[in-house]
Amino acid sequence: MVRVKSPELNFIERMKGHLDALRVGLREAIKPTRLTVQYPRERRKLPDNFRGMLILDVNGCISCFQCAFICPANAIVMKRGPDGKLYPCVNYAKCIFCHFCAETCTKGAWKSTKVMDVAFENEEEMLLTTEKLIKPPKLGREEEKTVSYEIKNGELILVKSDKLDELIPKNE
Amino acid sequence: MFAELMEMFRGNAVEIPILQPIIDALMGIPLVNFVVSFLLWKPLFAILFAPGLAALMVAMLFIIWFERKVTARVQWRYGPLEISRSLGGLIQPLADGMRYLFQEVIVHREAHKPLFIQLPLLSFIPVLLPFLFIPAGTIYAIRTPYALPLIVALISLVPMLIVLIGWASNSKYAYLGSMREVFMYFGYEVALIVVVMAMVLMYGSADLIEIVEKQKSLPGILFNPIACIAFFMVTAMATSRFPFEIPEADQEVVFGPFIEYTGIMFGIVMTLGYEKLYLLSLLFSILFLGGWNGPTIAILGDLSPALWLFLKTVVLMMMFVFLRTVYPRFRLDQAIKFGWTTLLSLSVISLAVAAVIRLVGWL
Repeated sequence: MVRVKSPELNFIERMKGHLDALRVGLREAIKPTRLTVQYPRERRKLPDNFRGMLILDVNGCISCFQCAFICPANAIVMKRGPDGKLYPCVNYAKCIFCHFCAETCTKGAWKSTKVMDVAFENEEEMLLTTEKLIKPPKLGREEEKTVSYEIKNGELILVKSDKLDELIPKNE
Repeated sequence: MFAELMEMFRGNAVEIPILQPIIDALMGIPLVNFVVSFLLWKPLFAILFAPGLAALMVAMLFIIWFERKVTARVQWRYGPLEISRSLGGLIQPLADGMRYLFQEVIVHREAHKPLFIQLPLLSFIPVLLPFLFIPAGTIYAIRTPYALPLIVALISLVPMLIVLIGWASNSKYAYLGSMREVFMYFGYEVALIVVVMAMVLMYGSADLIEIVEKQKSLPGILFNPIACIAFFMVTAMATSRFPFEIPEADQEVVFGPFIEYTGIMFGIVMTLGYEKLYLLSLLFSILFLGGWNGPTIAILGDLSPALWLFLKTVVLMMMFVFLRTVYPRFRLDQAIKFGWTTLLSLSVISLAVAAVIRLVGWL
């Protein structure tokens, strides 16, 4: 058994400890290294291929049902379109943003956006039919800055830039 | 009779050149001129404005905001911000006070109702009475050679009130909190009195005006730094600042003696510690930092020394609340041990230093 004793510090070492603590406190009080993202006013820079809301390229869809089969949350149902083919609809009450549908799509018809803060007025609206899915989601953006985390000299720091992140990728 | 009273008030009035046009204009109106000259009468001005109630409220609102803000910065948070973004949340304590004012005051069934309701209001007595004896330059109410012992005696009444509040609350945590307050009181009170007496011995007087006069060339902190350190620690202990924030430890006894209070009653009892901190910081700046000595600002007139005293006090209070960001909390037994060993020995040493200075006759 190892018995651990509390360290015995002499007067000078203790004073050094106090001064060190006060120094760190003062440094942080003057120039805090805080990492908070003030969300509505700032938005974190999200990586490319972020799994956000989905957009359907209806011309690419071949009605192969793969997305509806793979969906682990059963959020995708197929409905018949005006041309007689079956097209997917996404129920965002069930969707878990796993993007299996986008990955399994043989034609790459599903496009991802960086919109992840989704709000609906009621439950019926959460079922996005194909007509709604082909349009990009409506955005309400309040942020003035984009924030990203970077490592500098071995410490995590927060970098703010005025350039806003592009949440919806442009059509090629 | 009005004329006689007016004569008395005008004969001992605070002169503020920058406000003189407004005062002159108000003096022309009957009855208003009586109220204005009454408010500008030095004894009342000392209690109501500076260094009294108004300065206390301003300092308290600022220091509560500052405490939350600086703690948040050191802990990598933002602190109060949303309520006035451009000011950095400066009016947050005011908003909290307004909210307290409109909350229901609940008196629980087990409480001793008369004491429970009246004690928070009575707590203003030991807080405001010392302002009778604390001068700010030429503004003072009572000048007496016993000022310092009187102030210390009145400040020592605050723990009694806190213990009574805990007793009247009649609940488990309030009981624990008031017991802790009693133990802390035993821990620091002897050292506080010894340090204050050391300063009285050093200056050869307990009259605060005389004490500040003697620090015209050099502040007292240079003569007796040990007493200064001891007084700093005693103040931190007496006002439950952070390493000694034991009676109100919110993680352990949930604000201790004040746990049962709600609404504006809680607002009043919560600020008791800050009021005591303001008083002891005033004493600190008068005893060690040269009080209201400072460059005279001509347009402020009598208010100029009061302003210097206020600034020194607020800077000191900022130092005290800054301790919250750095230190953890002592256990009760550690704090009492600290009080009866380190603090007491420091204060006795400072008494010896003061005696030496007195005998050599440096002051």
